[in-house]
Amino acid sequence: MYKLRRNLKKSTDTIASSIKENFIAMQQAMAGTIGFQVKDLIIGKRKAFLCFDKDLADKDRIIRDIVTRLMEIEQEIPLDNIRTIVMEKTIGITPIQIAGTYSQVTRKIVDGWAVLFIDGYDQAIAFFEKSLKTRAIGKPFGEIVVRGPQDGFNENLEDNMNLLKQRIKSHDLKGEDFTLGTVSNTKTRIVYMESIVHKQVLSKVRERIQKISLDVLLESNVVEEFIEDNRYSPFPTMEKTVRPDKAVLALTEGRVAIFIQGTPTALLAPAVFLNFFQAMEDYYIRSFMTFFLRLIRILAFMINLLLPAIYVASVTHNQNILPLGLLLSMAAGKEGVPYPSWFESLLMMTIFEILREAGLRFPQPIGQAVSIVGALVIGESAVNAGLISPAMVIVISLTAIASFALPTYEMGTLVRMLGFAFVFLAALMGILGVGIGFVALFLHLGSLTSFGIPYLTPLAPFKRSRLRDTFLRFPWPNLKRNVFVKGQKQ
Amino acid sequence: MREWISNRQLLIVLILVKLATSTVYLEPVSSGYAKADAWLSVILSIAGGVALTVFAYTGAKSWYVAQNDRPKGLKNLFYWLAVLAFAAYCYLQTVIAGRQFVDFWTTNLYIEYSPSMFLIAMSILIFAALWMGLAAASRSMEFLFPFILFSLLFAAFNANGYHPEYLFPVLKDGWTPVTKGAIQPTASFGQFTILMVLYPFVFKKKEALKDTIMAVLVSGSMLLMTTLATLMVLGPEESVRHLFPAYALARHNRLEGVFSVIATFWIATTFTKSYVHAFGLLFILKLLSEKIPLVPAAFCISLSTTLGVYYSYVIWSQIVFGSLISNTFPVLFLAVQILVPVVFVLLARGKKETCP
Repeated sequence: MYKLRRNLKKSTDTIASSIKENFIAMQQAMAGTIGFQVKDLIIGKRKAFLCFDKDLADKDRIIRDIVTRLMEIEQEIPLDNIRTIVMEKTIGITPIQIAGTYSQVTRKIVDGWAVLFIDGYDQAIAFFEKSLKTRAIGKPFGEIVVRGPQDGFNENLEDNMNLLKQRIKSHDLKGEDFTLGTVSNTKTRIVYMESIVHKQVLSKVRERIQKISLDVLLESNVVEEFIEDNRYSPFPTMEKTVRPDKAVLALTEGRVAIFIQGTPTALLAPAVFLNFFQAMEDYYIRSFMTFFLRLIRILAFMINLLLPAIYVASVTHNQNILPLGLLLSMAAGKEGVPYPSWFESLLMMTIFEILREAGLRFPQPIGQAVSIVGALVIGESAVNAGLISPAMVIVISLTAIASFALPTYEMGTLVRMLGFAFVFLAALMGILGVGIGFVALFLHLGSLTSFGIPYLTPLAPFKRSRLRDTFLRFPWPNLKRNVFVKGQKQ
Repeated sequence: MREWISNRQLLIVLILVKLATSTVYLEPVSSGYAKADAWLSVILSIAGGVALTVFAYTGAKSWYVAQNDRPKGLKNLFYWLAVLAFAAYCYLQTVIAGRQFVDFWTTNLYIEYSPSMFLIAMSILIFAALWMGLAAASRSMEFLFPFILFSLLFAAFNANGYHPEYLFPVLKDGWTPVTKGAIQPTASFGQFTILMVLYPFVFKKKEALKDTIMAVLVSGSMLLMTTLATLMVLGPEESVRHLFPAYALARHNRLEGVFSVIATFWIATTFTKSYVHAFGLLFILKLLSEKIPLVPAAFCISLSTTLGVYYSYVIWSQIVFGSLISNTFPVLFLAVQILVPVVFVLLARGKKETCP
């Protein structure tokens, strides 16, 4: 690509009227480019050539829809009428654009377009002939629900738009396109509902995307790291989804969705802390059950964060937390274990992380085997060998399971990571360390914002009107959606 | 850019600051004078606190005007003396809150531990909060408030073995001891400085008075609840002996374990008190606009060294009297305490003038 740009700079960028000149310029510009092909043609007694990338463009369609049709023109085409005649001949078959410079032409070619040069005509005609090789629409991996839609986004932007538009049939749905990455030229689209979108959030998203400077854009996380408010915080301030229904719900709440060509994961902005405890299924089951499930998730979050730490604090510094009977039974279990409790805890948590990571990378059948072996090794053999205490196995197992109760993978991983820090604090200062860590954690959360919206909204700052979809979800007729746009009206 | 706090956040911060003092420390003071009538002292102090709050509100408004239109140079000596006094008061209050925090932990739950560990932990927490700003700290306190409220209610309602007869006869010695017992809690409920610190940042200033009165009523009710529980469970004589009656209450009911968990939430109350005063100090010294970490760092160093001085004088000197360490350490601490903040503050002021 750099070579291509260098070559282009050497010559004048404007397209010449001479076919020979254009041919040489294109050969120079695309020299060495993989898949670049040129096809000579005669169109209306004028010499012409069509160039395209055979790996990206659909060669059969080019021949059938462009070459064959254009070569049917027999009478000589007047210079001032070339564009009209070509367009008439190919109208309705494929989108057509006019390029005036070689750099525009090369950009079109590497994006899957076929570009036609005609002798005497100082512009190039580009035909969209991209061959889209994409995955079929499948289940939304990682956001599975028992009840509700089972389709998920794929890597193709247009397919994703189609899934959105099937659910939002309104002209209020607007989008803005950006091309990101100097090398990858990845199409990125922000989508929003014009009448209800939070205007400040939209303008911030737009401004920040325009400022992104990078060479290759591979995944939505790259964009997220560029545009989020606090890039050094471990807490995510943008939601991710592969579910069209979740994106629709976010859009109708006045949020902005960001779609990127080549990834099924859409970004939703803004996102607040409680969003990460809400699953799509919450909206498809009875509201009372939703309340229960959300409380369970918050409990799982607290277990993950605090249980190993409180255990370490209670056996190391604050034995008075535990009832005497339990304390004696735990002391008996710990007899013969050579390590202090905090080390035991950190060791177990690390082993669990290794097993989890290994299980994720292995093919599914082997992954299950690894999990079973790991569970046996940790649960049975390590206790029998006197390496760890039985109580610690229970604590760490419960913690590990609780982390998977959180609906977002990102928050589950994060909370396990924070668990290490809390164990460290508990080892240092016992229950006081846990308390200090807890206050410090919420201090940090209080300082976070997502595109200017405080992260702890609607609990801090408290917004009564938005409480109908936080810990509990009111029944749909009383729901009064958690519309972010209300913030700007106030 | 100035950070705003909502009126609800003002209310919560004020309640937390008052709870930090009232529910944990004030009860024995009232009981010391009024004995079984301590609960009447508390009611009196709530009324006095409301009156003081109205007065403080007027003061806060005047202070706010003075902040916006302050005299140039040293022409108004009185103004500068007031600033100095205010800064000194804020500083001392921060130190006292820190000391109370350390005292509570080292005398109840961490008897064999070094106080320096608690000092460092508290200083780091205050440093972090100062760096994040008032709005962020207020938001986190707003979020934590329900936990704290729940823990206090839990502690009170879990007590058993109530003896209402301990409260009788009422007004055995007349109103004089009751009034004496009400003075300190009233002063605590007044909290002029806190209102002055927070008032300029409140979004709806007209409603600040209502929130402040509400804070006195809520925290006063909590103190009344603790006082009644302590008097009825432990008795008037016993409750005077305990510096931290709420913990004594828990211990009496064999709830130390639960209490130690609850106490972790109480960190937030003493932390809030220290933080708000520290914030007030930085505010009056016009150092909030400085975006260099040295200023709060300097503050935290001075805070921990002052507490260090206290412990080195009062505790270490008594334990290792006459030893070289106990005589040298206070001097070193004082040197660091004075020199380091002065250097940092000068650096910050210098940077402020050169920055656009």
